[in-house]
Amino acid sequence: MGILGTGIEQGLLLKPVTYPWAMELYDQAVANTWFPNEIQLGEDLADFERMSDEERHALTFLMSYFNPNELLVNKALAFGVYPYVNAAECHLYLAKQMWEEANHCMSFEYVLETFPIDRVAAYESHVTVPSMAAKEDFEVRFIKRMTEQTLDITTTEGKRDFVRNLIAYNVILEGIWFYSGFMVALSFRQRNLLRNFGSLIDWIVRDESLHLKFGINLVLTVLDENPDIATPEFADEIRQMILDAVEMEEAYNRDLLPNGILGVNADYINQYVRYLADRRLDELGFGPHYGVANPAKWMATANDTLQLVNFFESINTSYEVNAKSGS
Amino acid sequence: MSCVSFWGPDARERMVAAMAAPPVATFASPGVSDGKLRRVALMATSPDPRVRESAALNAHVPVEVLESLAVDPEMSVRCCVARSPQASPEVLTWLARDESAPVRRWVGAHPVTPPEVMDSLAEDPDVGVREVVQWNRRWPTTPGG
Repeated sequence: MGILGTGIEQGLLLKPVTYPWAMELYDQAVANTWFPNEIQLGEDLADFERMSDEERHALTFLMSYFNPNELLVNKALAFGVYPYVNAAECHLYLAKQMWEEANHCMSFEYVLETFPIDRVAAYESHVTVPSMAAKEDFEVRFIKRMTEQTLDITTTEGKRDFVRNLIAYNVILEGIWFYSGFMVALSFRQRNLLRNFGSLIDWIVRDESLHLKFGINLVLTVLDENPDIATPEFADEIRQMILDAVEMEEAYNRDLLPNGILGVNADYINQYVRYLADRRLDELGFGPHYGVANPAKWMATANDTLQLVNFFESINTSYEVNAKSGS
Repeated sequence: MSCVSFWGPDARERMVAAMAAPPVATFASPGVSDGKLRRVALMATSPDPRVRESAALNAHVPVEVLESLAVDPEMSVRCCVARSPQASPEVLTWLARDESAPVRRWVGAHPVTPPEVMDSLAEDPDVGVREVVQWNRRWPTTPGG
């Protein structure tokens, strides 16, 4: 029996553990358990007051994007991943991941309640910024397929739909788009602003690193166990999904940061997005497509390992770019 | 369903009406029980360094556990001790002499590292440590300052 399946009576016994990587990730995730109020966000209020309008605008946009999307990830797990996986150890991890997504949602709620952010104005961007809407439509398309009665996970096409959904949510939304947002979020701390908010993001990044590792392992396991789905055409399709996602993210960053803020601009973030995409392509067994260097070396540790964000490297990198030079 | 539709006129109206309502949660976390402290202490003895890292970063890590992890053979664990909000000036002073530059960098970034230790790290042979000290010294000394 492979990792995919929908049997209610399967996956009820933990031993023997078929996929030890899932068990290890579960142990790490449990060890990482944290709660939002362990971070004293209120101490950052003074920083918020001295921030420029553009800086507050950036924080507002981040919250408006992250908050609903954490819950969207949970829908993708609940409807698109958990029902189609048989292994008990994977169910354990997915259950912990879903709690973590809820915890992240509440963390962003904590931010919205702590700082005087106009959340009505924030959410307007979901309809007034076309590139934000395009990203959401992209994600919704894949999860909708997973909820259709016609999906049969035992067929080659059903397995491909499963992989497509994982790529859309785990690799693209969590592994590229979220990280682009984390980079902007952590750039406040680079400028000696919002230290506690930065710690909150550190914890979220730590969780997300495990989510990404689980998702990549799951994709690779499904491909390994189901050689019928891994055709060159399907590989091209998956690769193209990631490249399309990069284009969407680049448009989004140009819309949201037309003039640059916080010492970063759209070009800077978009180079980071391309770097991330190359990393994800590599992890999936494709070669890198863009071949660009990481412009935000201070984020490297967070992406490469399960270490927390190493913001120390920032000071001697190109972080201090002219905000408008590349816009 | 398009995700965009989550923010239609109806949702906007409901959100506006709810703005004056109290927060949806108190954001409270479970209290610090003896069991929780024992769990963190147990995590600190795990053979898996990633679990020991989590112990060092736990918001409720006891001082003695943090002190034991300050001499952990894994650099990544000592880094986590050096960035723990619970790290005492004494532990940070100890770690400021760590053989690994990344550990000393985290010490240089810590808000409660003693001034004399910061002075010493400002002269550290590792350029990264020196830069972190500069960065740390740029934080306002008074809230909002």
